[in-house]
Amino acid sequence: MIFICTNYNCNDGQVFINNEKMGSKIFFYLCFILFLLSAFCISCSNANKFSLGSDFVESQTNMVLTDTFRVDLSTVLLDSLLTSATGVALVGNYKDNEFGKITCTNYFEVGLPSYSEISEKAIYDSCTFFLSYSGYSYGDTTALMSVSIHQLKENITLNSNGSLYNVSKFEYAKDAIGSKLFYPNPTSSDSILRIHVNEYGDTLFTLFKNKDNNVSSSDLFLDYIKGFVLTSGNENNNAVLGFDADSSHTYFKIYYHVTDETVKNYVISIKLSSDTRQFNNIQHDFAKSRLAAIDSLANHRILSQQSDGRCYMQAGIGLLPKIQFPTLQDLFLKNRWKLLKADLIIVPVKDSYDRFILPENLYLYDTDKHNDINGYLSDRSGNPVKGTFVLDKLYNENTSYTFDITPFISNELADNYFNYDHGIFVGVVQKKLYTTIDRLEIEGKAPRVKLKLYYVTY
Amino acid sequence: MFNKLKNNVLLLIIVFCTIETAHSQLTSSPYSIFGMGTQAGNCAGTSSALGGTGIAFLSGTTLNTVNPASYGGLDSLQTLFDIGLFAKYTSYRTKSSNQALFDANLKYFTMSFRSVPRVGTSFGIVPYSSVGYKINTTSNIEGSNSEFNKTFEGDGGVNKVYLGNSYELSNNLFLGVNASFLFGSINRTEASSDGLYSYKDKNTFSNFYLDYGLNYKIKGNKWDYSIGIIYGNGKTLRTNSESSITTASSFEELKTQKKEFRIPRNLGVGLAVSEKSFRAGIDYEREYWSEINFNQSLMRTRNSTRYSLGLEYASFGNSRSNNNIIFYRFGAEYSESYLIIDQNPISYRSISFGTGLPVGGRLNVINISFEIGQNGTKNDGLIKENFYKLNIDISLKDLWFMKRLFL
Repeated sequence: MIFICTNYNCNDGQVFINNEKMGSKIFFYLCFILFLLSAFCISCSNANKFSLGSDFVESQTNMVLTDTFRVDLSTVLLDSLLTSATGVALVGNYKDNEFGKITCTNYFEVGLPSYSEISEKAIYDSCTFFLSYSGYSYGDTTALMSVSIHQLKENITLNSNGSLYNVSKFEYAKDAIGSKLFYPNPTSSDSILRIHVNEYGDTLFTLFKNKDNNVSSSDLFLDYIKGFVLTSGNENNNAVLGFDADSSHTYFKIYYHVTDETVKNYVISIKLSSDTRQFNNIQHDFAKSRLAAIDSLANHRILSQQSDGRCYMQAGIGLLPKIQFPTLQDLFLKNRWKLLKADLIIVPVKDSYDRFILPENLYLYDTDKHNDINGYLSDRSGNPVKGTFVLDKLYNENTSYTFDITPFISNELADNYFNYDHGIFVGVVQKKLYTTIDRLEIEGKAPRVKLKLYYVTY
Repeated sequence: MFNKLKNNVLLLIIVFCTIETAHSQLTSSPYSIFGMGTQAGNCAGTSSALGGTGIAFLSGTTLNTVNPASYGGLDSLQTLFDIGLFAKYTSYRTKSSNQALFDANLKYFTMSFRSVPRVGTSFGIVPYSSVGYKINTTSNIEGSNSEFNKTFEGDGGVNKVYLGNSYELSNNLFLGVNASFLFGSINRTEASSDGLYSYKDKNTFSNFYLDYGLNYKIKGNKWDYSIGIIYGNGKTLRTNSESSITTASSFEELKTQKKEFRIPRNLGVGLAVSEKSFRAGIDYEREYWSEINFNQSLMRTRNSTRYSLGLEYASFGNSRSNNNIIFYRFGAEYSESYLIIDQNPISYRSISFGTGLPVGGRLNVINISFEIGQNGTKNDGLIKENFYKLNIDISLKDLWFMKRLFL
């Protein structure tokens, strides 16, 4: 420490410490603030829109688009589709050359009504069956149409797993208890369809009036009445209509009156009782259509090549286009690449939607070798993938659905093996799959279904 | 005692700040995409006001980091803390377009003192080179007619933590040695702007490095004459390269070719004349970059050369004491950088002027300098940079050794 004093006068130093301490302190703080400011000033840089220097960069990566991977199309007819407890009744039939004939009948059960004791003097007036349009229709609703109601000959019994399918069937009386010929108006505000069942109503009224054993308990009543079927009375209807099938929209009303000093009117309502034992039987007949062979083919699957390049979707009967990717395995022949995006583009057959409007929302289902539906294909956040629908109203050229199926493809590629049996069904949303008979024809020839893969090479 | 503690805490925070910012961007220049990035040059202390000149100057009220031998000029009573900040506005011009960027950041932190008689010591952290660019461009999607937006980003750089000593071998002959640890990383990212993928390349380097300096002063009647020499032997840095590709659904570390990063040999000579209130110096320095190949197709290297000139005038005001000296400085620099891009050598020229003011107690000095310069060329679609830079270099002095005498 001795050398220090050689340069400095000690008194000088003391003066500094006492008198200029304050100034020094302020200076220190000033510097400190400057430092903090400058440390945060990295964010002062406005480099985000900078584009100069693009000649300097050397790309290590390239984005590539390929749509040459083969896409196999086929149409699969599912063995059965659950149609019970949907709250929707489908009635009618429709026939054309593309999908053949489709016939919908609705089965339902009614419950023992609550009613006050019927006077001896009561006189039966009439009986009407009420149906409410659900708003759904399929086919030509401008033509005259008929709906009949029949009584079942056997009780509706559920399958072992508690449901009923489009192929379920129960025997019913050949003769209708009532039928109606009408011009349907499914979208009008007066959305009720009335079918007079006067003769049958009289029988029921008598039971109630006489306190018949058959109406003494719910079980006995059900055993007696069994249930009803709504059929398209005319074999050649040209439409299928949807009705609400629940206790507040589907019921019989028995009207009677009692004359004492005045005339008093009474009503007994017999309502649809079981939501679970309400179902639609939906039958197809592909004779004379391109799908004629499907019932006899293995797995009920017809390749697009066997059906004139087209494949078909129809809800209700479980007719679903199946998409498979036979050559994606070839991706593994490439080196240093990563999948970025996979778009599946589905093109409807050009002249197939002048009469039937295309479903606005299409979804994809995961399927396998056994053609089981294993849930929706989902996007990265787990939501079902919905197709982006483009309708080319002017030329019908660019109408398409585009699905981002990146997670499906990348998951399948993840184990370095692409399983061909892991396929995709195209369909409407699950609820509509069970409650409508919406249809779609997909083009298997050019411009056909395409898989667009975007990947990066490095 | 409390005050001293507080000051030390502040200093500590500043040091951490410096180390922290050492990893962040010190430059925004498309040219920093090449090689090891933009060289920091002689940016510490007074040299930023003197066009980087300083090979033959000894350290005085502010540390001169250009030549390790200069530490011999340090005052024996003072501990000197030097910190530097900058703010820079750069406009980038090509033949067809014009864009501008603003940057501001911390540059360096040093501390210097006389450890034993005849030995001046300094240590600190200073930048060596830095990378900072973000280039937005479009690229064709192979197999289609469409394009996608691509962003190239780079950041990082090499920093130097050094401990240097200058020995007074004989009267007015100083030998200085810096033992440095060079470290840093350069991160480059290439990504699709919509986030579909990003390709990252990270090179981390480090190594120890020695560089040397000599300073010899001949005292004359009125004028003193000094000569300074600096030399570094170059060094291959220990390099670790990591590449990875990230997409929305995958991440993969990639095998990379080992890249070589090297610090080139350098040799510099400086001459200076000085009297009581004036000094002037010139520097000539060469770095042997042509031995180093960065494997970038657009670029090759050449040996870089720096010529600089610095003038400093000290005004003592009325008191003629050491307390109120105001310095006025002027400098000019011309550098042929190590880059030849697309057959165009990239060179740098700047002039600077500044002042050193006593602040907050007679021993603290704030050096403010302003620099105007150019880098690059507009030929062949290259970019010419015009920049305006404000440097603030602060020298804080603490009479540590002195105080101890009074305790």
